[in-house]
Amino acid sequence: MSDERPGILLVDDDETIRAGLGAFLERSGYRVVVAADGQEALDRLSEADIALAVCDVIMPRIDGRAFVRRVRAEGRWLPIILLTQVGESYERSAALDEGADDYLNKPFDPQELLSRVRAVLRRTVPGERPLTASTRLRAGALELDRSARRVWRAGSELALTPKAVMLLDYLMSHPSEVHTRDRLLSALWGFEVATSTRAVDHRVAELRRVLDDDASAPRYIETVQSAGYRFVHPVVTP
Amino acid sequence: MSPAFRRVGAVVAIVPVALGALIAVALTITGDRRVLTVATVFPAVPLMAGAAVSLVIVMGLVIAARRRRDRSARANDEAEAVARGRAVEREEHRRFLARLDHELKNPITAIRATLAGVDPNTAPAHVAVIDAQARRLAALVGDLRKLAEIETRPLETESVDVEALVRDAVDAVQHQRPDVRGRIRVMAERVPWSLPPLSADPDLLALAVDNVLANAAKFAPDGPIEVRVREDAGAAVIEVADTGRGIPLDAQDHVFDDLARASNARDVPGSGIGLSLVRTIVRRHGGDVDLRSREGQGTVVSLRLPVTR
Repeated sequence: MSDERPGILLVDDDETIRAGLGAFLERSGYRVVVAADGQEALDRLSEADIALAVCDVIMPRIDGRAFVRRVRAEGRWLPIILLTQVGESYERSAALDEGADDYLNKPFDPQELLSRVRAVLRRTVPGERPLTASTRLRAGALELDRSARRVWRAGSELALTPKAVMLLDYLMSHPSEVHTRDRLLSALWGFEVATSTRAVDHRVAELRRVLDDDASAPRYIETVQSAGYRFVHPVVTP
Repeated sequence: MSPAFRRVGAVVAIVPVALGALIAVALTITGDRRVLTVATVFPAVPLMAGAAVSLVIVMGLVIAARRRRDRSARANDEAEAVARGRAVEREEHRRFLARLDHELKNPITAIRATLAGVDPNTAPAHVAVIDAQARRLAALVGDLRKLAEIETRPLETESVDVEALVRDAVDAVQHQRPDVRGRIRVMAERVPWSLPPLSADPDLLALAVDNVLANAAKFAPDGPIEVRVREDAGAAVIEVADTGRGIPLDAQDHVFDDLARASNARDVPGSGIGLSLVRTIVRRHGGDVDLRSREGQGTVVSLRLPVTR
């Protein structure tokens, strides 16, 4: 094949959405393969060279979350962005637990999807198991069990609020990327409110206090001036 | 007392009298001329008369008490039915919001995706207009979803210092809207004691306070804004008072409804979701919101949150 553009598998049962987003992603420099449900998506995966999948959640036959589970069970580590239908926050964390790399709430800004696609492709190494598909993560002395939502530092367990663990999970599984406060708020809290992002700052403060991380010389969470936060320590899967 | 029961009672009450009358008539017809004379000592007469009068009074009292009890039981039943009705109504409303959100988000995603698929170099000029309107609709759907979600999401309660939370919110609004800087004052009761910490979801509570403050800043472009924190009858009270344009009397009952906007608020951007969000959050904490306003003079919004829960 002479087509060098990265392949994106676009899965949605709504034909208009497939056509519109497909044209948009093609114009943005990707080769787009479409599928109308999870079963068709699994078939396309084995035929075409796919770098990333963008997948709706509620679909006939195999839905988005089952699709993620099946793909991971087959040992494929391609990144998956879920277009969540249900706005509940537990749904979002459940999507993460099952190995999706990122997620967007419908209706979303197509430009936001594009920037997520670019970030995810930048972050992932083809064929390598992504951090988002691992159940345990380690950054130096810090260890996180993602499914049990427990955190240890140098072997002793830390007491954190559920929100702080969720934030740490997101930061550790998306390291060395700058996350804006707005994005963290909408992804983890489900608030798309412009009024304030203090909730994020408070949780970062809690994490720093418990992880004994100095904001002026951070080992883990760095404040990126007028942009947001970044997890700076290298993260590995133990 | 049911009507059927009352009818049976009346019949039972009449039977002895009717039976007695019947026997008397029969005896008279058969020519019974016997006389029964009962003799009693005279002092017993006033005693018996008094006893008879007392009996009548006691019966009257019993009947009155019975009526009162029935009435209060009915009132209780009514209150319970109203509360049940309200809960059902809230649940239906939440489900309606969820359905609306579900049915709207796919078409709006499709519109935005289709517009994004159009090459901007060849796109007709009105595509930008359609896109802007689709963006507005998307924002509205997001707001409605937020409302539905806040009705049901589990509260993550912690011990919350209300004064600190309010001061944070004030700092944030001053940061976002430089025009309120210097006009906003926090007054927290400290004597004889400060407000005890509250068991609340700090993120949701902050969202409620932010909304009320943002309203004050929006509708009172000048003049002082006071934020008062105090304790009153077992509740923490947060009051936000402004000297803004106020809310017309006929709109005051509806400002907490979803998407409601007063007739004099049309020139100020907003979705009409803020106050209904505030009320939902405060009620989920077992409290309530109250609003006092005079058109042309200003508005006071008070959030009451129970301290011990």
